Amino acid sequence: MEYNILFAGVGGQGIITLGRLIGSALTNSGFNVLMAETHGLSQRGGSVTVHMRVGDVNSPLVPLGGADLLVGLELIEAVRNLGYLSRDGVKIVNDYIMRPSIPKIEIPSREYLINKLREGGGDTYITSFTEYALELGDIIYTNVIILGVITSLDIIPGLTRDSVIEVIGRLKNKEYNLKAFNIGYDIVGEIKMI
Amino acid sequence: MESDKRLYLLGNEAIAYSSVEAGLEYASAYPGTPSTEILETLAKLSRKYNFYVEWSVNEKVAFEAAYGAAIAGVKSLVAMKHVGVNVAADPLTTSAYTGVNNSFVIVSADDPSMWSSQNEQDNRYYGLRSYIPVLEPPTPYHIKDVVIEAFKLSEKFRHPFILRSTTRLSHIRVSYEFNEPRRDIHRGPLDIDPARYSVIPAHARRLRVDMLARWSEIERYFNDAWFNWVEGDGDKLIITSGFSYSYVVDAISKLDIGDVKILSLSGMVPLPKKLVLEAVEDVDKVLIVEELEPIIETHIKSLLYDTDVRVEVVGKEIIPLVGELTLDKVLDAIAKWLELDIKSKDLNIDENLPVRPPAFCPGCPHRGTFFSLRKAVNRSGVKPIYSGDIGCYSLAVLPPFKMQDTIVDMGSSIGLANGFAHILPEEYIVVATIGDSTFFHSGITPLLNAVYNKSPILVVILDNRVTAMTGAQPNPGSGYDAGWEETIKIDIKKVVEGLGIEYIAEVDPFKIRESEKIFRDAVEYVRRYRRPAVVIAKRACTLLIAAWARRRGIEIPKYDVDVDKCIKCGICYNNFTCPAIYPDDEGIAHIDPALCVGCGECLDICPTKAFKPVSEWSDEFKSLWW
Repeated sequence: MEYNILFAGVGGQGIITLGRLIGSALTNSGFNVLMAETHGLSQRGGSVTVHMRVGDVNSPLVPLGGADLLVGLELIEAVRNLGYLSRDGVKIVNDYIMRPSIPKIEIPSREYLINKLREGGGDTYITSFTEYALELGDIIYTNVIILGVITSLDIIPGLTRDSVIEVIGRLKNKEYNLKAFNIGYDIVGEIKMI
Repeated sequence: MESDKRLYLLGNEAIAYSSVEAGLEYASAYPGTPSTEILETLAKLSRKYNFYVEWSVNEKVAFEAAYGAAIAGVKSLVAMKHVGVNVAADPLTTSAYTGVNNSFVIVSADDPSMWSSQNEQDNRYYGLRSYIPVLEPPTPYHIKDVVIEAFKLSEKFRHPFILRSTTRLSHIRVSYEFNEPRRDIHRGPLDIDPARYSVIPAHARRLRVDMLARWSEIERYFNDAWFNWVEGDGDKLIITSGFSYSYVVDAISKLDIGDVKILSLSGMVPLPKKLVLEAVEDVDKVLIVEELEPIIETHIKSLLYDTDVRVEVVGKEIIPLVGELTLDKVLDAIAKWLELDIKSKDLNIDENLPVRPPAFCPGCPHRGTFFSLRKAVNRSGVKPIYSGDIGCYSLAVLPPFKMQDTIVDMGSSIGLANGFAHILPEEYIVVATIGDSTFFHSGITPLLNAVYNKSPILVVILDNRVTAMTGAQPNPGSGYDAGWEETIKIDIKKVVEGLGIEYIAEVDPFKIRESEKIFRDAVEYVRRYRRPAVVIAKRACTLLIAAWARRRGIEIPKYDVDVDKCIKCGICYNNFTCPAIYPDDEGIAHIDPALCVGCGECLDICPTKAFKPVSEWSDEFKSLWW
């Protein structure tokens, strides 16, 4: 068995924490999971990816065209990493754009990026998870909402609702994080891109 | 997050936990990606398991401290990034001559692909050229066994051992089962034999002979050690060095190519020659898969020549010399080797996407320092040469700042500036920019040199109180030790005074206008008196302060834009580039409240004073800055 996930986002968005929550939940359930992280210089607001491989694997990096799931915390970064996705791979993407801190930079339109997402892979789940998080009171809850979506889709082998709730229960701000998780868990039906 | 039995650890954390299981008694390090989390983790474990840890001032000192502890008879470890070993190379080389009185494990975390480094040197060469054996885990699951083995063998042979890691191994997360160690702490032997540890020529000549004898013994041991093994069968052989094994086994399982024999060498320096010769018997062709340099390849080819074994050996002809290995690269190489028809893949990134290099964080004091420094230098009418250094402030190499003309190694800002200053015509000003931790690491000696040789340079020390780039570790200027316990705080200003610098000023990077004036005066001083001057830009790392504020429930102040005052000049988002400030479609500036940390640097840069505080700094928030 082998299941590959690529997380893409911007340094500082909490991509590693999201990966750790999934990895810990799987580890506690006895599954083998490797996660390759980006630390150091590249974390300061630059493009970052986290590679996660579940199952009988030894090496850390997801092969190109080998990801069963792409989790994009930001639109530009999600599109940048579409090449990792397998033909029928699932996409969960935050409809949120962060402008790179570069003088006079021009960025593609939201419509352009969303159309790109239509081109590759299988089902796409997209909404502004950031807005849901801000409604809860802090942008920080974005990733736990996404975790709710991932869990609800029941696509990662071994990742159960109970195992995820157990690791969320060990976070600070347990109450709000559980609320965030449930929001994600419940909105899946509404956010599938047609 | 994890349950008690099975931990889910970063590779570096696993190295730390394994060292504790091996009976570690002394650890020192200087932070550097990808090695930092080893000592950070040890610092957290040190009290419970009763061993000593320290952040040392640089890698040479860290090396000598741990080496000293091992001479004094305890199990010690020193950790550093690959280029840190260059700084420690002097004692490292001689440590193999003397050996040690217990275990001495040198962790070198190499950075293939240069994710956070200036070069991608392969530190297996340090083992080879210094007669220090090298062990490298073949998969993430072998970290514990290999680390414990390194301690055991180092103790057995009373010889230093290098444990080599790489970015991918250090920063992989993997499950780990921690077994409570038995702790029998001992203090060292009472006699340290000068005939062994005082390396005068007469002793050294004998020590070299002894060292070579130990080297042969270690090679013999490596031939039969569990961590070097042959698996599979067939007439095709792949030889792997360390972690490259993990890519090879995953590639083979994907390719479905039948029988392939693998010789996995986790102890590859010294090369276990007998084992290699046995493995190549009865095979038709050999592929050597190793990341970076052809180290085992060169030795195996020479071994086969010497022993008159004729077999086709392929290595760097198809395994890339540049960059880290990936499953894709190894798949391509094996396919090429076996002449399989497999198309190599490409990420094919959409050309319309903007690049996103790293940038100074919102509220980073360095942004303010470089902004005011640039204005001051430009208005002085001199041509600047910006001699840069290694740290977060290296990011000033990028637009809009472009204020790092050179970045080479730790402390080179002042070192190179010494050379520039005596060569460039007088219309130039040489400005060296260096962080607090880098200054303590390697900036003090070149500054002393500048005083002694009257080098006309402006040195800007960007003091953000911690070693920020690697995740905010305390340093001698912080006032805290590795466990964040209070300790002596070294005042940079006093150090600089002590070195004999006559012109010293301080600026607050958040006060842009005030800083600009102070920088202009300093430039004038250097030009007029042709002597070095130092300006210390002092503000704690905002990322750290914001994290502390969140943890303690202290409100972070915010700023906002009075959109009626905004004239769309773009200074804030094009010339200052705070990530919290962004333009709308019409060019009017806005602040993203989720990113703003209330530094207030934008107040001074806006020509129409369009920025205004939403909430003021509370006394509690003020008290966090130290």
